Parts: sequence; structure tokens; C-alpha cells
Amino acid sequence: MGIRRVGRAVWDLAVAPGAFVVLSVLWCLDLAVGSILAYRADPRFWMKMDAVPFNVWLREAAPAQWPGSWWVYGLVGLTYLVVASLLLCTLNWLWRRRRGWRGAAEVLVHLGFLLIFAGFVLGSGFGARAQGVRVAVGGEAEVPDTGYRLRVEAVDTVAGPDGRPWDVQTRVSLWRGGEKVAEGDVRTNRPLIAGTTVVYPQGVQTVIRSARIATTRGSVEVAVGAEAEVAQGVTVAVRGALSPGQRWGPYFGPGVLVEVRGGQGGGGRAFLSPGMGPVRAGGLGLRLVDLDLEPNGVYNVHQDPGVWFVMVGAALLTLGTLWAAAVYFARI
Amino acid sequence: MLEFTRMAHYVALGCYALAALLCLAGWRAERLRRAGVGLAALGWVAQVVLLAARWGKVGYLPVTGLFSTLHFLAVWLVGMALYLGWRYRARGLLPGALALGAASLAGASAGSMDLQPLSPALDTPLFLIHVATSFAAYGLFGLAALVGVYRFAGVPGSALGEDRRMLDECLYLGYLLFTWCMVAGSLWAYLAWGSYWTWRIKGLWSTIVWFFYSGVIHVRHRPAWQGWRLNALSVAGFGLVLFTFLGLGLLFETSHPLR
Repeated sequence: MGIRRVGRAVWDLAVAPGAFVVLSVLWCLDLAVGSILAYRADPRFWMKMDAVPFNVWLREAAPAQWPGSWWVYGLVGLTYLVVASLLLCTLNWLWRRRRGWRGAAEVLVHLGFLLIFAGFVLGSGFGARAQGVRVAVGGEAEVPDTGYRLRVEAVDTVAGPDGRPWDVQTRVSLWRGGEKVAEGDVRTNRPLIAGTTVVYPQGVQTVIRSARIATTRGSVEVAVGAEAEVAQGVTVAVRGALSPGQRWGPYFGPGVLVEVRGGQGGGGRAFLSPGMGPVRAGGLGLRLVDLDLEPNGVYNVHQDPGVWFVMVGAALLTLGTLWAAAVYFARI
Repeated sequence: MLEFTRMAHYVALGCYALAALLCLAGWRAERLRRAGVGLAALGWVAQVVLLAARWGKVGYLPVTGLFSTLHFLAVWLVGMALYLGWRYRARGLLPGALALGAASLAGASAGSMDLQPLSPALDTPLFLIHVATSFAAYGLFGLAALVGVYRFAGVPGSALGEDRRMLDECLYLGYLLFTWCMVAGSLWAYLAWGSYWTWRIKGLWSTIVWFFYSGVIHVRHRPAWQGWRLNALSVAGFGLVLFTFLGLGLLFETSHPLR
């Protein structure tokens, strides 16, 4: 009898709206305080969290950031408690149907939220995120952790209402096991959605592939990251490149960082950009003749097996609130 | 367009400020109160015409930047107050609501009145739904807070004694609208960034606002939460809304398009 009474009391507490409210307030406080502290500690905190599925971040990054990540653990615990409270409250309603179908709108809202949460948990646990996947136009690249290869067929500009270039559009295709899975034009607000995988464009970057450099000992074409001999025992290497618009310290792109080895001066480095006069490094006079530029599409690819739960949940949430609004206005 | 914007803005601002004073003075003088309501309606029409003209000019709902967003907030706030004034004879509520509307427009004066081109990320119908529902909700939450303040002070907002019902209506409809705003925002984020949920400060605080009002919705009919507790919740909720809408953009770097 005592156990039944205790069980009843626990059940009543679990399904009480008051319990949900207290947990919600704690959830809000945790997130509010934590978000501000995290931002103050590292303004790029959120970007790092968004770069990987939440479970991966929780497993790998959160322990390394302890005690700064205490609030995330608190948030996870509170979220599970809020969801449990909501789930029990919904089950209680379905079991008892205390208010007939009049309260069905609220139950739809609850079910919608529960589905969204289930989708989030699925996506966090079994999803994958590849940020900044770079693919040359006409080329392809493997998308890490997804089993896909991404191919970029073409790049084009989209004109705005005034006829000026407004956005960049690329034609991309997803491949798995040698078979094309999906294809489409992607630009801002128009990603390629293939089932639970989304290819979202980050933009198009012009990348320097190689540089033609004239030296006082001859002219060479050098790929970025490679080196070439200009004379017996004298080499010119391109150690790095800045794409148009990029900046590194005092240097602005486009341009290349060149290293000379084995010259009279023993070696030296110089930054070369188009239009710049000859400079000396390692006993050699150097001048940039030409750059071989290649447009690259940059993409984020997200795989989220929970996304359809989330979409159905959002639809139920919307339906429930529309129903609630209709009931409200019918009553007044 | 800039001249017309400036003129309509100051007409609306002047109308609201004067209407607030007339409605306050007309607490016991019906003619003054009516003049105040008429002036408030004139200001509101000026705002709606301005919004429509700017919308027609650029081809999208102009609600980016401080000037436009505060204008949009004032449109909803004053529009809802006029509706409640008509429905519940909320004469007492009008001076406060008009003062809030005027304060919002005065704040908007600090922003640029220029119409900026719409960035591709905002070029979606979800933008319209997201923004319209969020500001409608903000307006209702603002009025709920005002009713809460009136109830704290013991001043009747409604001549029919319907303050409690007004508070309920503002909280409930505001919550429904804010839910649609969150759904549209998440769907938009999914299409624009490939993820319906991002760990960004604006989104997190919007979720806090939604959770907070979820709690308020659950307790608003509970006997233990009536009286000062519900009033305090409605005031605190609007504080959260203001911080999320204005405070975050001032204190933090946010990537949200409507910072």
C-alpha cells in the first residue's frame, strides 16, 4: 500500500505541469549563463560546436574544455529531464483523456516537440558533418565520414533584379559507389538535398595552382607546395599562396611566398604578387610572370538521419498551434 | 524615398507621442481620449503606408537594420493595442502602449533609413513568415508586460475589467506566433545553412525565450501562479525578449541576419 502511494506521488510529480515549469526555468538559466560565459571565453566557441555532430563534440571537445563546458553537461541532463516530463505528461493525457479531444492541439504540440528531440538525438549520434569541402570546378572530392564523393560540374553567377551579379551558383552531383545519387544547382537558400544529406554552398574561391616566375637565372613554372630547379643547385619553391582577397600578415592575395635555396646568398624568401617589380632573395632577382588560377567550390555537407523526425515534429508543432489558435478564436 | 521615409517616420512618432499624452489626459475626459485614439490610428496608418511603400520600392519586406525592425515592432505593438482597445475597451492600456510605440520609433531614429539590398541569405518566403510572426509575438509580449505592470500598480487597463483576459490573450497568441517564428526560422536555417539547429547566440536566446513562455503558458491557469507571479513572469519575459532582440546585437558579435 505504501509503495503504491509513493509510486502515485512520484507519478503525479512527474506529470505535473509545475515540474515541467521548474525544469524549463532551470534549463533557461543554464543556457543563458553558459552561453554568455562560453562566448566570453572564446567567441569562436559556437563555430567549433557547429562543425561536428553534437555527440562528437560532447565526446571529444567538451572534456578538453572542462570546467568551461559544465553548462553543456547541465543542459544535456536538464533537456532529458524536460523531455521525460513532457513525455510522461503526454502519456498521462493519452491514458486518461481527461479533457476529451479539446486538448488534442496541446498534445500535438507535445508530440511535435518530442519528435524534434528524437530527431536531434538521432542526428547527433549517427550524423556526420564535413565543413569546407573544397572541389575544383570539373573535379571531385571525397566527403569525409559520409561515403559520398562530391563532383562540381559548372559554376555560374546569378543576376539580381538590377542585372548585377547577385550570387554564385554551382552545379553539383553526389556519387556513391560509382553511381550518381543526386544532382542539382546549389546557391544560398537552395542547397542540394538528397535524402538525409544536404550539400550547402559556402561560396566559390579562386585557388592558385601554380606560378610562373622569372629569375635572373631563368624562368620556371612551380606548383604551389612544389619546387623547381632554375640552375645547377639552385631551386625555387612556392611555399604558400594567397588567393584573391586573402590576407596573411602584411601580404595581400593574390600572390605566392617563394623560397630560394642554394643561391649565392645561401637562400632567402620573398612574397611575389602580380604587377610587383623584381625583388631579390637568396642572391636571385625574382618577378612573378603569371598565376594559374582555378575556381573551387566550397561546401558544407551534413548528413542527419534524424532530420525527417524533426520535419514531421515541426509539422505537428505547427498543426497543433494552428489548431489551438482556431479553438481559441472560435471561443471568443 | 528617403524624404518620404523621414516625413512618415516623424509623423508617426509625433502622432504616438501626442496620442499617448492625450490618452493619459483623457483618462477622465472622453473627448481628449477619442482625439488621442484618432491620432494613434493616424500614426499607425502612416507607418503602414511607409512600410508598404518601402516594400513596394525594394520588392521585399524591409525589416533589416535597426530603423526598420524597430518600426516593425511599433506597428505590431500599436496595432495590437488599438485592437485590444476596441475589443476590451482597453482605454487605460493605450497611453502605455503608445509610449512604448513612441519609444520604439525614437530608438529607430538612431538607425539608417536607407534601404539596403537584400542579401541572398534573406531572399526566401520563410524570411517573411519568420520576421512577421516574431515581431507580432514581440508586440503581444510587450503588451502582456504592460498589462502586468498595470496589474502590479493596481491601475485598470480595460474599462470592462478584462485585464486578466487581455494578459492571457497576449501571452497565448504571442506564444503561438513565436512558435511559428521558431519553426520558420529553423526551416530557413536548414535550407540556408544545411542545419535546422545551430549553436549561435541569437538562436540559443530565442530558444530560451520560447522555453520561458512555454513555462508561462503551462502555469497561466494554475491557481498558485495567479496575481503577482503571473504579472512578474510577463514583465520578465518581455525583458528577455528585449535582451534577445536588442541586447545581444549590442553586446555580442552575432551572425544572425537580423542582428
